[in-house]
Amino acid sequence: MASVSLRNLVKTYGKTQVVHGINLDIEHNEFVVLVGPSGCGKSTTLRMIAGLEPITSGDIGIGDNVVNELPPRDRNVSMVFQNYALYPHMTVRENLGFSLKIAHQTDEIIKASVINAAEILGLVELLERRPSELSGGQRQRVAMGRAIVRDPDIFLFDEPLSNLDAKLRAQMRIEIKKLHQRIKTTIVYVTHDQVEAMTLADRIVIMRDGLIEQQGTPLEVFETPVNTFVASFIGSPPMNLLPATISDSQDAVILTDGTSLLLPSLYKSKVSARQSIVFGFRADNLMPIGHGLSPGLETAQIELLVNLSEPLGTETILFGDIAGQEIQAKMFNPRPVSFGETLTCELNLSRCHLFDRESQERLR
Amino acid sequence: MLLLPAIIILLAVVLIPLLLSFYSSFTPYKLTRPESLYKWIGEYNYVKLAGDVNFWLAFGRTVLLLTIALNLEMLLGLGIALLVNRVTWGQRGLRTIMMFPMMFSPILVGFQFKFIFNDNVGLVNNALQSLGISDQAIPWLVDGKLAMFSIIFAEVWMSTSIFAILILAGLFAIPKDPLEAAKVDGCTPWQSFRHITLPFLMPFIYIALAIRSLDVARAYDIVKIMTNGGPARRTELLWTLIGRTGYVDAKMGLANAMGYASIILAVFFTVYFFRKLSSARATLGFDT
Amino acid sequence: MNINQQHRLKRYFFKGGHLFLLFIAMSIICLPGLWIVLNSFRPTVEIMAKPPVWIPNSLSLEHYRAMFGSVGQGGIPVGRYFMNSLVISLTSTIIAMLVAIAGGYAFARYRFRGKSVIFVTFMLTRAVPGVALSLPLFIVFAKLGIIDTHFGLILVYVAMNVPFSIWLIDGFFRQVPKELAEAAEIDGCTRWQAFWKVEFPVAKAGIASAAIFAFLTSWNEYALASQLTRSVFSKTMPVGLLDFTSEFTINWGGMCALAVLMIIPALILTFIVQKHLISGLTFGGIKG
Repeated sequence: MASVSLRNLVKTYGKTQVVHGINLDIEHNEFVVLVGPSGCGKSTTLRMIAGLEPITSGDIGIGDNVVNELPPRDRNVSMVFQNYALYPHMTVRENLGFSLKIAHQTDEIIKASVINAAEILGLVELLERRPSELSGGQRQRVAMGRAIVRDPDIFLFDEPLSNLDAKLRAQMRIEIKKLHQRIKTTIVYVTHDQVEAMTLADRIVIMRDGLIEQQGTPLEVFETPVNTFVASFIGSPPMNLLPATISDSQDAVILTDGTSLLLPSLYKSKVSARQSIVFGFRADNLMPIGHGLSPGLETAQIELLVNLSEPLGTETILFGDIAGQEIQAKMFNPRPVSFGETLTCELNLSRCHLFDRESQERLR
Repeated sequence: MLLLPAIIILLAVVLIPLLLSFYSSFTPYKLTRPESLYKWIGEYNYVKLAGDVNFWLAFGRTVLLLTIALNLEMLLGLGIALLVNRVTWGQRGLRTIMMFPMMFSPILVGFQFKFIFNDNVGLVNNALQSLGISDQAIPWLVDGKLAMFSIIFAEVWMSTSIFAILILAGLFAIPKDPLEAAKVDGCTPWQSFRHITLPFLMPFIYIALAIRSLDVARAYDIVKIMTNGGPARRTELLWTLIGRTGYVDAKMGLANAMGYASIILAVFFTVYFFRKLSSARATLGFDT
Repeated sequence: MNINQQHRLKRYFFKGGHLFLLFIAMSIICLPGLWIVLNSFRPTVEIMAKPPVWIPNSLSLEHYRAMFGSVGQGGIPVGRYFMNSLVISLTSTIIAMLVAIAGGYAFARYRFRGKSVIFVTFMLTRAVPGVALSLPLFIVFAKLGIIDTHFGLILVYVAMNVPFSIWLIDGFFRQVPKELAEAAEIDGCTRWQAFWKVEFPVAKAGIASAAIFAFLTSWNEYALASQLTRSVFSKTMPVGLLDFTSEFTINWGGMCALAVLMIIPALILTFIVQKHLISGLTFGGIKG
C-alpha cells in the first residue's frame, strides 16, 4: 500500500496537450475513481501512473519516491486492462503465475499464490484452460487475479468492465468492492460510467478535457456539484438544467416562458437582480403531487405536459416539457400516464441548484 | 474443372520430366551417345555416387551452406526486424530499403560480390589496403575457406531481407496489450521478448524458413557466377556438380542421379519446416 | 532524482545504440548495389587504378555506349537479350496468371477431394531445384526440338510460377468475402458475371502483385535458362550477364552497366508491389 501524488502533471502528444497540469493526492488504501467522458485524459493519466506513457512534465510520486522515469516494473503497481491483455498462449495458471516467475520466485510460493488468487476469484476449475476458452467475465477475473497475485503497492484499473454486459457488470462491481475491503490496497480506477464511479469510489475525481473538474466523496459531488458539467454528468437520470433569470426583486426565478418560481432560500444571499443563471434540479426532486415528495418541504408547483413515460416498476420516469425544454421527472407509486396528459408536480426547492450562466459555476 | 490447366502444365513440365529423370538415373545415358538411354544398369549410378568422394564433399558443403545460411538469415532477419519495428517515423522508407536485396536476381547478387570480393579491384581489398589494415590482396574467391565464406556472405545478404520483412509483418500482428501487461508484471525488455513476442513470432519465422527452403537452390546461381564451383572444386556445391557432370562431362545418367539427391534434400528441408509451422500454429491456439 | 536521471540516461544510450545499428544494417544493404551503379559510370582506367581511387574523378557513359554498340566492339547484344527476357517473362506471366487465377479461385472457394494433397504436390514442385529439373527437360526439349526457342522457356516458366501464384492468389481471393458474389447473384448475375464484375476487381490488386512476382521470377531466373537456350536468339539477360563475365573478365565497368540495366525493371516493379506481397505471403501461411 502506498499513496500516490500527481503534481502539475502534463501530457502532450505531438502538438496536442491532453492533460493540462493536474494535481491530485491519493491516500493509502483509498479507492479513487477517475471518471469523465471519452477523451478527457483519465486513461492517459492512469497510464502515466503505471509508467506506460512517458510524462511530458510534472511529477508523479508513489509512496515517498518520485517515479517519473521509472519503468513499470520498478514501480510495483498492478494493472487490469480494458481488454484484459491475457497471455493467449498460456493457461490461466501460467497467466496468474507469470509475474512471480519473472521475479524468480520459488515454485512453492508461485503455486500457493496462484491458488490463493484463484480461490478469491472463483477460478480454481479454470486453471488449466486457455484464455480463448473462457467467457468475458471469466477473462476479466483472470485479469484481476493476475493483478492480485503480485501484492503490489497500487492497483490500477483501466475501464475493466466496459466490455461486459450489464448484468455481469453489476456483479463484477460487487466483486471489486469486496476485493478492496479484503485486500486493503490503494486503488486507482478509471471509467466513463458514473454509476460505477458512484458505487465503488471512496473519492471520485471528475475529469474533462484534461482538467479535474471536481473531486470529493460520491455524496459530495452528487449533492454539491461545482458546475453544470459535473451536475449533468453525475446521477442518472441527468440533472435537468434550465436557463433562467433572477427577478428584479431578487426573490424569484423566472424561466424563459415567464413561469416564476420562488427563489430557494439557500441562495437568497448569493444572487443579484436580473442575473442570468442556469436552474438545475434532479428528476427525483420533481414529482407529481402525491407521488413521492414528502410533505413539509419547501416546494413550488409546476404544470408538466407529459410526452413520454418510462415505467421501471418501482417508479416511472416522465419526459415532459417545461419552458420549452424537455426535462425528466420521477413518479413513485406510479399509475399509467398517457401522452399529452398534464400533471401538476411539486418541485423540491431546497434541493435545487443555481449556476451562473456565463461561468457555468455554482453560485456561492 | 478450374484446376485442370494448372495440373496439365505441371504434369507436363515438371512431373513427367522428373519421372524421366528418375528413369535415366538408372541408365548410363551420355549426351554424346543417345542410344545409351535405353540401357538399364540398375543402381550402378547411385552406387557410384555413394562411393564418390567429390560427390560427398559437394553434398556436405551444400548442407553446410544451407544450415549456416538459414540460421544466420533467421537471426539477422530477426534482429533487423526488431530494430526497424522500434523506429517511430520513417519506417516505410526503411522497409523499402529492406526490400532491395530481394529485387536482385541471384545472378546479380553473385556478380556484385564477385566484383566486391575481387582480389584486384574489389571494394573489400581496396578498402582494407587504403585503411592500412593489410597490404596483400586477400584471395576472397580463391582460397577454399574464404571462398565459402564469400558465398555464404552473398547468400545471407540476399535472403536476410526476406526473413526481416516477414518477421516484421509478424511483429505488427502481435497484440499490444499483453506486452504492456508484461511490462507491468515486471518483465525486462528481454523477458518480454522471450516469453511473449517470440512465441507469437514462431509461425512467421517458420513461414519464412519454409518459403526460403523452397528456393534453396537459388544459391546455385550465386555460386555459378562467383566461383563456378572452383577453383579446383573447392567451392563445389551439389548443384554445380550436377551442372558440370551433366553438361560438361555429358554424363546425363549420373547427373540425374545426383539431381534426385538434391531434390530429396530440398524436399526434406521444406517438409521439415512446414511441419514446424503447423505445430507452432497449433500451440498458439490460433485465433488471429 | 538520482534514479530517475539514471533511467533517462539509459534510455538515451539505448536509443543511440539502436539507431547506430540500424544505420549499419541499412548501409550494408545499400552499399553493394550503389557501388555497382557508381562503377558503371566510371571509366575502366579509374576502376583498375592502384592505389584505388575513391572519389570518382570523372564520370562517363562509355560503358553504356559500348554496350549498346555493335557486337564487334566488345559489346554484347544487350538489346536482344533484353527483348528476349522481356518477351519471355511477359508471356509466361500472362499465361501463368490465367492458369493461376483459375487454380487459386478453385482453392479458395471450393472444397473437393484431395485438395490438400494437390496443394502440397504443387508446392513441392517448386522445391525441385532448377538445375535438377533442367537435366530431363533438356533431354525432352532436345528431342522435341524446342531448345533455344522462346516457346520452350515460356512453357517452363509458366510451370515454375503456377504453384506459388496459386498460393498467393488463393490467399487474395480468400480475403474477398463470399457474400459479395452471392449478393451479385441475387441481383441477377450468372456465376460467371458475378466473378468478373465483383470478385475479380476486388482481388485485382493482389493478382497484380502475384503477376509482378511471377514476372520477376522469370526475369531473374538463371539455371533453367542457361541450359535451355543456346544462342542470341533466345538467351535471357541473366545468361547474358554470366556470358559477359566469363568472356570479359576485366571489363568491370561494362559488366556493371549490364547489371544496372538488368535491375531497373525489377526495382520499379518490386517497388509497386511490396505491400501486397507481404500480406499475401503471410495470409497464405497463416490461414493455410
